[in-house]
Amino acid sequence: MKILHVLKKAPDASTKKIIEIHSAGNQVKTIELYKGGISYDKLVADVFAHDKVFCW
Amino acid sequence: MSDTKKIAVIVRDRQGEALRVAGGLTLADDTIEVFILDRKLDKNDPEVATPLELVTDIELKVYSNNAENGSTTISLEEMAKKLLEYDFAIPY
Amino acid sequence: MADMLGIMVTKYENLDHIAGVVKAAKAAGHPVTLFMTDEGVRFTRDPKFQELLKVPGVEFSCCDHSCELVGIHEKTEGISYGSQYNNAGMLHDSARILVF
Repeated sequence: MKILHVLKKAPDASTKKIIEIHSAGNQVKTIELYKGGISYDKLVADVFAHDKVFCW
Repeated sequence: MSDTKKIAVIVRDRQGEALRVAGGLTLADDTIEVFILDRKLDKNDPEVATPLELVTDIELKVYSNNAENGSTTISLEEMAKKLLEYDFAIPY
Repeated sequence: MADMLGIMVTKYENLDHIAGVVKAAKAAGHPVTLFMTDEGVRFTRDPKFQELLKVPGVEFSCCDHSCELVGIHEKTEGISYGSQYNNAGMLHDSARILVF
């Protein structure tokens, strides 16, 4: 399964753990919005290219 | 409208609002389930107690990794895996 | 028709990201619906956010109850003032949801 995690701020411990658990056996991508330099075209393409999307 | 969706509402810091939204999301006949992450619900706060009563009345399934919440207790690992069963997860 | 993107705005933050996503999704041909609730309804009176209302083909709605709670009584043209029913409908009809 392809899973996208969009981080609006630095993840807390539980969010980190959830992403870590999802990473086992799945294809996980993380986008760190809070770090800037975002291509929104790529972000939208990623949103639709992944099966599940989480915004933290 | 499309087929029924499964939606998880993840309750974190804004407990009352998250529960109110969870109740409201049932209006489109989707399956809504609630995950209380880490924190203990402040049931003495009317802004939490009132929407919690709604969630209870409409029999939404509630899971938490905090046993003090009195809902179905699951580990964080179980929660992470279970969240993948839903079309959408709404962290609040 | 391309898959719809729903954007749920619950905080009065991240406007640059919200605007970027709305414009990019429209440019990619996706229908876009945006619902504001909780503190997110403060955007209804934000001139910078109101610029987004000019993006054609985007549906904007908000929770009127949240507006009352945060003390917003003036309406903005182009935004539908509704309830969590709008939110439920948006999630039901969307292929993907982003939460800001």
